[in-house]
Amino acid sequence: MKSVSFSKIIILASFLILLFLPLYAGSYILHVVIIILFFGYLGSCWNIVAGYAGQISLGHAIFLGAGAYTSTVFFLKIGLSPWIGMWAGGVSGILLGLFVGYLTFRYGLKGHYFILATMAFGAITKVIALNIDQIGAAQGLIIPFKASFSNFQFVGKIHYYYFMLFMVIGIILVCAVIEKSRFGQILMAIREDEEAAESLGVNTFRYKLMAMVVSSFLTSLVGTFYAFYIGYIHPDTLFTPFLSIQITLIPITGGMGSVFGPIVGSFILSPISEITRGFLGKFSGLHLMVWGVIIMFIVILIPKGIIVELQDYFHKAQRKKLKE
Amino acid sequence: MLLVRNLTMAFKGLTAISNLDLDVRAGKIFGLIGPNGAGKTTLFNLITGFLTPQKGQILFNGHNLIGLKPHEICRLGIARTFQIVKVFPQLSVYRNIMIGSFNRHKDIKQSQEISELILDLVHLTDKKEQAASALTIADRKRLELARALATEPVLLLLDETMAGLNPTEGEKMLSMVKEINGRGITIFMIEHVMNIIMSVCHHILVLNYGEKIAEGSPTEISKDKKVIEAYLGEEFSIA
Amino acid sequence: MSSEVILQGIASGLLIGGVYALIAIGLTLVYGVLHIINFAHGAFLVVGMYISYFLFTYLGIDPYLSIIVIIPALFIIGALAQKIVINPLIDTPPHICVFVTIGLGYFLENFFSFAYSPEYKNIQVSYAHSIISLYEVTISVTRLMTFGLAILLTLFLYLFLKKTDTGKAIRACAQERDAALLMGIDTKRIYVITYGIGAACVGAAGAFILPFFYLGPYVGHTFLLIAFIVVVFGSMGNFWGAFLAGLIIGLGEAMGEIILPSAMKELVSLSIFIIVLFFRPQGLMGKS
Repeated sequence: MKSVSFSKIIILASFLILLFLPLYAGSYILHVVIIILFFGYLGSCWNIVAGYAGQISLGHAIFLGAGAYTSTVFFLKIGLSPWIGMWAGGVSGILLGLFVGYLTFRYGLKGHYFILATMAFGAITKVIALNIDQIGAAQGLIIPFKASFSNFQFVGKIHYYYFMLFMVIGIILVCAVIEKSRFGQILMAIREDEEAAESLGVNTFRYKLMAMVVSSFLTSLVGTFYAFYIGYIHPDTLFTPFLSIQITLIPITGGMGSVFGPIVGSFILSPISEITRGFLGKFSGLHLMVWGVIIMFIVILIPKGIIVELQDYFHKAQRKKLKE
Repeated sequence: MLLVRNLTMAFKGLTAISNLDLDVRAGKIFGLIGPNGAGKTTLFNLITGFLTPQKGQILFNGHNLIGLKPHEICRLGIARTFQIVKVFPQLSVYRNIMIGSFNRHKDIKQSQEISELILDLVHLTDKKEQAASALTIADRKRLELARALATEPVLLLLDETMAGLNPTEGEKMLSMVKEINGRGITIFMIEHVMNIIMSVCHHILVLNYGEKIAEGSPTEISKDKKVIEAYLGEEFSIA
Repeated sequence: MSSEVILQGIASGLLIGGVYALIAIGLTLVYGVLHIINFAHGAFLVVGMYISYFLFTYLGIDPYLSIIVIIPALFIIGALAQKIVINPLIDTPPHICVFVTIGLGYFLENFFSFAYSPEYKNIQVSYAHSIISLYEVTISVTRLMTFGLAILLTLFLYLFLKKTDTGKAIRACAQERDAALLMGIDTKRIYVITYGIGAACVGAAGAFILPFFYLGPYVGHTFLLIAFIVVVFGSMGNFWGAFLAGLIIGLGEAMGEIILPSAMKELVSLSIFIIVLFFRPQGLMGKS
């Protein structure tokens, strides 16, 4: 009981801090926290299909890219407000998720094969995107800056910040609901032992597909945010394995299959990523070397992620106490 | 209830099951024995949809099972356990059983009620919050059984439930099986240990190299020459 | 489309296919024994390339000769990596090893970018422009030597696996780890050796392609993807499957280059990848 209310206090305190952060934080700090929230959100989305359902996708960046490109193209070609374009992006995410999920799960790709298939889709998407002139091909697309609410473009960081904070709160709620629901329970059973779940009446294909589509949809929603925050999208940043891997490292650090894991993971990892890139970026490749070492350390020392490892630790300590 | 006709299953060159016929009568306990590699688990995999046979028919209360997915077959009322226990390791005992109850119930409250009942039935209530991976083998087998029961089957397939249990645990498991049968659930069990099958089954089929070599009541089987021959040289375990 | 163009395509496709085969064999060997997908495989190629580059630029050693240094060097680096970083994780869920090797890859491939230079480099051996003409086909000497040495190394590796005790132990581990354990084989040691061999193979391949391929920290990425495609196509863990698939992919790419606009040539191998993953995941040599 003690650990439960302790964590509730931490959550509430963090929320309040984040809520009022723009009042006393400068532009750079806001930017860093926006990035943290952004990746925390993405990590949570990935968590739905990977942490809960156990399907490790290494191509999730394609959903983000699909959302980004869809809304950007609509905005540039027909002036569609990104607020609406975001949902068009969401639809593209659903369709892409259905496509990838249907093909991989229909043909029963599991484990390594599934990982490779998602990477293959990522590679193909990149090649295709680099070659379609209508969406900018190798030049990418630039979004001219004209601050206005309907353009989803704002002076300063505050609006972007609250949008991302809102999305993060949203995804936390979504994951919390999923975790407790019949849907989430079944996903976790599939993760634990797919055959056993199947033998218990679970249509594993349908549930994995649903998890994938929910995940891809939610991921693609913030593609729009990304495009309009950065102002420039390009296949070499949006459709790379590097970005997909970045997304997966967040829940791995913080705790897969847990609601707050990805958020915590992002708060730990994203600043490290930003700092190493900021300070060491000028030494060509050094920050990536350090990044590589960090990844290895995380995976070796806390393979289940901080939150889950802590939970395990507390459970063990509790059990020891009971025995005494 | 369960009718198998002319069933043949071959894996590249190796015929695992050949021209098998069997009838499982409703309400009874049907036993399947045979030396290792005789094809027993393969038969279960065929019935539950994990494998598709080359030839033959499998009918369950009139439904043709061949071509159905395992989850569809479970919906029809067949549940199974596995030779190597497949519990959901990181989930608690309670949540393991809940997954089974989801087969018939969409509502979480109802599933919870059913799960509590079954926990009680298998005497695992005191361990309900423990992770399945923390359980002993005997408890895990009971959990798997409980989970299969939660799907509310009419036919329960048990694959070597007694294997790896000491005599006390084995007896408990056996009485549980009898109790389940007493509630009207048909049992089809694979066993390797002779006297367990003898003591509890109404009807027995003996398999060797994928073929039926004998069928009948326990008394008939124990006197069958072919059966004795098949088991000679095998580790004849009288537990 | 003249027969000349096609023959030329076949020739260059096969020649590069030999390199793909060598690279893939290292990867498939590691998968077959350790059951991990080695995402650092491309990075070892880059390491081999850089070492060969230094030996050529500062000591004038021909890249093809440099494998005398590269093979043992890469073997040691690979073995160390396996021992320190991967062995502790052998019994964890598969995705854990995936991420460890990803991290290892980042580290290795950026090492030279940082320690030396991130710029793309090129070398020119004295015979860089020599060609051989066979019927209507022109083959550059460097590519031919690359192909020949790749094949030689493949054969050498095959004999090693077939005839030596260590080789047999490796094959035993690949087939049935628990049985190998019971037979007293030190599986952890075998893993270290196997990973080292994998690194040595791909490092040598790096040296082999240096005469005609540019050097840069991220060159490994392209080859890693191709290696994945070849390994899956040739059946994961299958030695000759990887060899055959390497040649076929090389051919396929060459044919693709002739038919498709240049930017799309990667689609050929990627499409093969997708088709194999979905319709025949067990690959060329696998059972249905």
